[in-house]
Amino acid sequence: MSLEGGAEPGVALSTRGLRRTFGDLVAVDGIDLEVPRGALYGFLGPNGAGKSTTIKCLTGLLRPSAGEIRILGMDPAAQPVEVKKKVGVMPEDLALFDRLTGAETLSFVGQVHGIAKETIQRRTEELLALMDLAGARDALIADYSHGMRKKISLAAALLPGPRLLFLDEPFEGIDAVASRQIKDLLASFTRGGGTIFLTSHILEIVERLSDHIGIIHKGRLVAQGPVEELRTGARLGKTLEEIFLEIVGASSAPTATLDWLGGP
Amino acid sequence: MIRTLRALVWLRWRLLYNGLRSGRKRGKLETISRAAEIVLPILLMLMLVPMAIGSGVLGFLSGWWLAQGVGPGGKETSLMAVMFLTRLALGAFLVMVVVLPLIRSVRGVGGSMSRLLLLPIPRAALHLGDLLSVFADPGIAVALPLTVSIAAGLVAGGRFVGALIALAAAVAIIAVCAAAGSITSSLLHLAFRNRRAAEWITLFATLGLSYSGLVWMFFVDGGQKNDGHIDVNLHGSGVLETPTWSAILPSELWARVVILAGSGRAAGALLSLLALCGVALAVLAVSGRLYARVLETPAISGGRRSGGAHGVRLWHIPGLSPAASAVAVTQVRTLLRTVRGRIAVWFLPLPMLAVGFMLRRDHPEFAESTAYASPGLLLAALGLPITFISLQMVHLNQFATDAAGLSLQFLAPISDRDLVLGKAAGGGFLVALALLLFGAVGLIAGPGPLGWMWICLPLAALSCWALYAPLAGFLSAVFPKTADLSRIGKGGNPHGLAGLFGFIAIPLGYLPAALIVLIAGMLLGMPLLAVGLLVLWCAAALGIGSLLLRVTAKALAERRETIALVAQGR
Repeated sequence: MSLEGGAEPGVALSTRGLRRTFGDLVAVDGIDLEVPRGALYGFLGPNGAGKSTTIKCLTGLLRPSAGEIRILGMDPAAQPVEVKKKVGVMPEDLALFDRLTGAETLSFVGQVHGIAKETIQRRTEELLALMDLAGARDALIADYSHGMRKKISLAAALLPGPRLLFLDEPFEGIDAVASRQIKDLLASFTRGGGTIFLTSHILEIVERLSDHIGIIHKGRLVAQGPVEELRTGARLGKTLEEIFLEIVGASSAPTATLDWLGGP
Repeated sequence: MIRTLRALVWLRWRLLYNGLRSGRKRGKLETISRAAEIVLPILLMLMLVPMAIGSGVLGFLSGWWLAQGVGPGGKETSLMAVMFLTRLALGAFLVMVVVLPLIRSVRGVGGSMSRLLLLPIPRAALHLGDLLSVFADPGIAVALPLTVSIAAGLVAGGRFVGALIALAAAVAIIAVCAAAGSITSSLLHLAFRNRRAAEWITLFATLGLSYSGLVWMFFVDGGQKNDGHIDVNLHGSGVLETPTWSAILPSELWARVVILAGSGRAAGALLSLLALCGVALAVLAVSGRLYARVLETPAISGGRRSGGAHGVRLWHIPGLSPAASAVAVTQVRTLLRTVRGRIAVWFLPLPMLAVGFMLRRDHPEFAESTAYASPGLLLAALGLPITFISLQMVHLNQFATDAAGLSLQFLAPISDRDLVLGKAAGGGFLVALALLLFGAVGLIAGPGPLGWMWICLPLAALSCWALYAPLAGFLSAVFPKTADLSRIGKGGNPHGLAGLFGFIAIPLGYLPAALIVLIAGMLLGMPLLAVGLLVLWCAAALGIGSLLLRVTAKALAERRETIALVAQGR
């Protein structure tokens, strides 16, 4: 696959040799991602593997040290504003103004995307109702709980109607009802042709939702492909958790005994 | 219990030490900035040592003179003067014990107790630890030698029984100090549970502490002058006398015990000691109850506004793109919801109003307009630099003060130019708002007949802002600093170097406008020419500013990653 002159029509996101270093530390070490359009791509990896750094590079928050990125056929380094118009992001830190209300946050996002006022207002009401935040629409984000912050951040990512969604740990700190709503929402988003790139530590959810998976370990992409493909072959019949532990080498890690635990 | 207290002392020390240690460094500038932060507290600690020694010497001499029955120079009146000084010092320390936790909370220092509550520590030990932590306050560290050394002075003077009573009184007054400090901390903890209440307390405490210096002006009898000296009317309070009501103050009770014990009247001293111990026990009991209340509900939750159904006003600033306009509106909205923003914009003209009132009352000749100035015009003109200086915390750190909100802007389809333009427009609106209030204050104080000068004020501000805004944006990009504008103190200030350059830029920015007014308006006596030239200069400054904003946008593009990290406090 060549990244020259635009990505393939069926590919929403691709990278070639993406690398990011912080001084001597290589956080992302030449990864080649390929996310098909309409896919829900689960990006997995242990803590410190480079997931968040990769997402930050893909969303323009960090500049790659080397490599190429194509998002929806565009180069984000050359056309940052055009790319951002078609992308929604729920980042690790949720990226919210503490001193704006929930409704103001959504309005701000709508305005910077150049959406008409009436559309912003309609979408704001719909999203607040969907996220069960209508009762807290005029409360400052500073007064929101962690779960409410997650939901308003997701609503902000969805409001412009993006074609590609980046979600960093969307299910962490969310209650069961909201989690179910979000899963339904994401499924409907991909059915409509949208693409989702998400990271999560909850492997059961990723296994159930994702159709494609990439596993990053120590900055390198160690596995990538459709979930079914990963399950077949040598890993036949294994769960995603077993596959993940096998790939990142955790299954063979020595288990500490901690004899003093559970003693009298 | 001892092990727990030792662990708590160690915890306090480590929190202090680690607070001074440098975190992740991102450059030499940050290293210098951190070094300055470390040196200042060390200097303050060093300054406390002679103060503590002085307080101990004062206490010892007071005790010794008390035992002799005469003061310095062998006079009884001088003994009373010394004792008055000692009482005053202790009273001041007691006030300090109550005020210090307030200042600390306002500045945002203080830790969470959740971790301590999860550990197997008896509540009584936690309370004792809280009481003892009061002694880490500098004021108490100075007060302690004063009370204890009086007993030593009495021993030196041969009053052994009196010394014992004085020592007991010292323990009681120290217990009162500790409990009073703990009560203030607990009350603040309970109040700060609610974000909005915490912010209002911070706002009023800051205004109260800042403007208390103006209060004395209202008691100055400016009408009577005595050889150039102003008489302060203290309404009859004698030099060595204290009001009757003050007898119930713990510091006065303590003084009574010490004076009676020192003069050999043990029975009276014991009676007063009993009263002081009663007060100490009562204050300790209140402190214990409040502390228990704090422990029972440690989690801090914010007050939430009830959900109304009113929509959000979507403002659009003419001449700006939707993105830049949204950035500007958000800048104004968020700043006016912070404590420092509210103070800088809404409350800053108040002292000017007070000054205007004083000038009109005490100097009627000043209230008369001259050929070139009226009192109102001067007050409004003072607003020009003051507004810029007071809003430096946001102008010179305009990106990092957005904290996580900055990521939202970086993720949004906003070009760097639109971002700096939006910030400049938002900052300009804030300056205009504050200047309008200064103008209103000036008009109340007396507008005078100089209409053309009033037109010059907003033009001068506009021309200065046009040049200052790109520089402020540039400095914010080069010297970002983690800041919380709802806290008072260094935590909300911009980077020191940004502050320095920004401060120098303000008079330079106003200089051309000032020269135009001075030469064309005053020296040549052609006000219309002055206004016309100012309009032209404004247009030129806006053109130059527009070009400079491109440089700012480039600096922002280069520094995005660092600013985002700093904004998140990393």
